[in-house]
Amino acid sequence: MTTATRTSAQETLFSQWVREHTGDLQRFARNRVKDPDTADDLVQTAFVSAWKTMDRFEGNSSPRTWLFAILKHKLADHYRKAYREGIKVSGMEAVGDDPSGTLFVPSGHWHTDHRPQLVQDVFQEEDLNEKLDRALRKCMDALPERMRSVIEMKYLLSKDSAAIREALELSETNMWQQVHRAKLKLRACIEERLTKPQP
Amino acid sequence: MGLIDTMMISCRKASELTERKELVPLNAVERAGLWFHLRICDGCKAYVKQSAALDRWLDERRDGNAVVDSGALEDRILNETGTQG
Repeated sequence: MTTATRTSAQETLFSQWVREHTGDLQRFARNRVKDPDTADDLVQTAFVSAWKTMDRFEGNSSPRTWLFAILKHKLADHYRKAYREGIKVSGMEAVGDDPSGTLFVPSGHWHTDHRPQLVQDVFQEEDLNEKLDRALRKCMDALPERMRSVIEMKYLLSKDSAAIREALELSETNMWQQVHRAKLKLRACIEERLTKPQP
Repeated sequence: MGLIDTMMISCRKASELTERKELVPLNAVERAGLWFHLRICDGCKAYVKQSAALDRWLDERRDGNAVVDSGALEDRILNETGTQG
């Protein structure tokens, strides 16, 4: 149990926050981390931090905004760790990590089987329908953890390239190479799921 | 290498520049190469569209769609912090 001296008014307020915001924070985390238990642990860690630093919450922002900011910090830590561990496990330029070999022919043009097709109603810009939504979730979960961490970090840090590089300790070249590979893999996975019947 | 050779980039390069453009500005040669390539390549035109659609989804996420039962987690947090509500 985490000890912190709190007035009973603070305790009441905190438990209100927990009851009110856990669901949204949990959905946010579970959508961004493959393993649901890990996602829940991150939400719990965020709340524990909030509990410890409650005195510093001045009410300039809403509790919800404050709690989400804490959770985003925890997520960034998680991606950083996942990325580093991924390097240790697979080595920096692991074979199979770069999907270019299968997607392109040696001259650099699309392989006929993987050439993106125009006008697929499931892939229309405004039409992010249920089928696509499901495919995206599955394909994000199918990405190697390290690749996913780079791509998640990109959106978590609002595409601020300097911040992403710093957080993951990546060179600029390396950063966009990683993003490119992840995106190629993701796109190919989604097209595969949408065009071929799934078992 | 002539100007045309510089302008003729591969699909692999075009997809790379498409992704890079999101994070860092391209130089004039790269911009021209990508523009020219997209004029003549339907596959990469489709790639650009799809990549933008994926980007939007990843940016917005339909968090509301995730089904969670937060009760157990709420209890765990209250227990962990010693605030039983």
